Amino acid sequence: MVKRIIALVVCIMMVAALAVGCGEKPVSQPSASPSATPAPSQSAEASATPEPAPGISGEITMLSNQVNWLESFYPEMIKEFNAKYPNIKLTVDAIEGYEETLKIKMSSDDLPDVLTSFVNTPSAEQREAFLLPLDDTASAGKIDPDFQAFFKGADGKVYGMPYAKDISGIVIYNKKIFKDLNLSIPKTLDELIAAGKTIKDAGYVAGLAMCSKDQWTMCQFDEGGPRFFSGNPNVFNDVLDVNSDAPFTIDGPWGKTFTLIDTLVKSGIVNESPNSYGWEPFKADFKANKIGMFLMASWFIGQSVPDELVNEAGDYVGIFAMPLDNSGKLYAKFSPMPALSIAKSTKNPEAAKALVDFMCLDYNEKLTKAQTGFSTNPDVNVVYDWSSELDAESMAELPKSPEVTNIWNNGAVDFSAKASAVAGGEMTPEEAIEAMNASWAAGRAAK
Amino acid sequence: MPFPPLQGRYRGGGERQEKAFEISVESGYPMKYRTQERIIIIAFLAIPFALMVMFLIYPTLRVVYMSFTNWDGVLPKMDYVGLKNYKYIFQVDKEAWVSLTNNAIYAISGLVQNIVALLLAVALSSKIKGRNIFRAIIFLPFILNSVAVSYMFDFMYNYETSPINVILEALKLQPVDFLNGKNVNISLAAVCFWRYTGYSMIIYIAALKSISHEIYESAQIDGANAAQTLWYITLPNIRTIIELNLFLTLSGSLNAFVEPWIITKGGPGTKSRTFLFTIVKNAFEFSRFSYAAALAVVLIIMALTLTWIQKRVIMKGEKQYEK
Repeated sequence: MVKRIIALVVCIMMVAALAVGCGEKPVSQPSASPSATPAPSQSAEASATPEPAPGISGEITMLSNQVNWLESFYPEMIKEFNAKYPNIKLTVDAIEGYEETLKIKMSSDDLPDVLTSFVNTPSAEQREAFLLPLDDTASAGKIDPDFQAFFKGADGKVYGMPYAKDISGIVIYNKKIFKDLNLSIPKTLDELIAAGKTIKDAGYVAGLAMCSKDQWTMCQFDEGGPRFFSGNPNVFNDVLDVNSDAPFTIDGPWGKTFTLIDTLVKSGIVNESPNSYGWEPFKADFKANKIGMFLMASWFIGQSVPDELVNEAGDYVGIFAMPLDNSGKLYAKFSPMPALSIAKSTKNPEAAKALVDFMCLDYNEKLTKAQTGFSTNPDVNVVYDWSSELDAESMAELPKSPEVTNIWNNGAVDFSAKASAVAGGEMTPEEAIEAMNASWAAGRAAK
Repeated sequence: MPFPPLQGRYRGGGERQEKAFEISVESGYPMKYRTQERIIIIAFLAIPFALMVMFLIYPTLRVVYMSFTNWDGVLPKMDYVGLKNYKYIFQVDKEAWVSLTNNAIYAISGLVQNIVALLLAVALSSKIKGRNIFRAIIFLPFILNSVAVSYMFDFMYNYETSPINVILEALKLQPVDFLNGKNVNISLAAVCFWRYTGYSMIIYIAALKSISHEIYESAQIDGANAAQTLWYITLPNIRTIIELNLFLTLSGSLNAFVEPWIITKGGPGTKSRTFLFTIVKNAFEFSRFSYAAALAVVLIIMALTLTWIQKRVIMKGEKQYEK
């Protein structure tokens, strides 16, 4: 008898456990992500106000890569959006590992209505196949067309609307360390190395940090280096000859970039063993005032100080343009930050376009400030206390052409991998150039 | 109950089957016993078989099909291109084969792992105090999730803050750079060694239990020492299990992926990339799905070939022994 009761109770518990995962959730509670991603995800939902109001109505979902905004930033944004469009029901979701998941979502036809898109993902062909052109939206008329150009499809139409840009190829430095050691902003490479040596000798972890264990952090050398060395914003398309098997040379822009990395490491201003130094330990060290300088983009400033000090970040960190050689020429470049796109499969294009316009025009200032970026909307002027110090020539950035992109992808030309090998002393700059040429040739052969 | 109770007397064919048929007809179920048996078997096997086809057989066939196309993983464009991907693998691509040499280091570490596991198994099969505790401690790393273990070793291998280096510095010794070009593959293989030694050991302990005690006793009477006992009695008797463990180790070393992906992301440069790492990177980062599919098919063929060679070598030895 007891055994039967125990068996019955266990069966009920198991069935109940099964039912918990399958039940329908009421609308007012936050719902779980509908996508089959292995990464954890949360979402914020807003309910429509009961006022009857004319205007666009419907339900739309938005997918973003900013997981840290789900609890703080997005609920505010949804409230303001609903103040303008009370009849649109907006659900915002964010996931980790966004770029890989986005590809799977595209191929399995599981896209949300509005999504974040990047310069390289989706590719030009994929944009044409999966996204709606945005040339007819109100934002298209306002947002800087040079930045819209990064999100064009193969047919020349714009498929992504960037609301913000950041400065890349700049050095973020710790103001306290500079003040303690009486250092001034370096304007040439020699001054930079001297300043780095002083910082390293004083016992800090690094004068100029390189956390090349996470190879993507070396991308700034690729973003800035070749363009700045050649003074040509179109360097990718002009120098990389699609008909040549060895477009990279040791005296060319990429060779100079690898040589620069090698010089910096050999001069002793970089932390010990960059290839064992990861991004997260580096960030912790930077916040703890152990690092002098770091080459990255302006979006890093929001993460360079403890969270409670973000609004006064200008008191703790500053920026200056990276001097690449001793010529005194300093460049900084504005790059587009991730943009907003609308999926072709959306059931409510009017509401989706309303959201894109809202974020790019009405809510632009708040969005841009939350990412410590600058606005691509000429009506919005975002300034920070640390941005006024930048003294450099601004250089535009032109995207890789489709042919160059094809060869780059097919040959797996991985600049960051080679840069991290040079930083760790595994490859000389000459070997890195040879490896780049080998990958380029393989990419050409794959066509 | 839907079927008549199955009783031992009515099993089997022939006369008994006819009797079962008669009984079933009498009781109103006009079905032969064999048919009922078949229906039960099919009903129970249908779901697992369907799952196997859906999640194992169909994806494998699909991967083979994909390797003959030029799909990039996202667009609906998927054209048949014949052997183009395979020609690229064998004639042009060097990175995939270079990454295969890194797998060799995992295979060597796997061999060492098997030897150590066997010695531990022999030691922990004898009657010593606390042998169950030792067995549990050595097996524990296998239970931990491989991703969590990789993150843990990520911290252990950090040059500045690793506990190992902190201790070495306190002892005034040179700290070790685990993740530089020379050491990185050995460091990553060491993680696998730490995880799987316990697993191999448990399999060997089970195998050792199957050897009869009398052989050991008669060997002892004949004056064999420990080494001779191990070489002439233990090893030949568990030959099949050694083959099984070597197969698991070898195919595991071909599939090494989690440790390089999480700890070094293939770095520094491309020094710690393994074959499977190259496949995943090609598929998801460079959007060359069909090329990655071709690499995967090559990997399957390599694993099958190596297993076949290994089986021939070990079985050949067994044939000689049996003579």
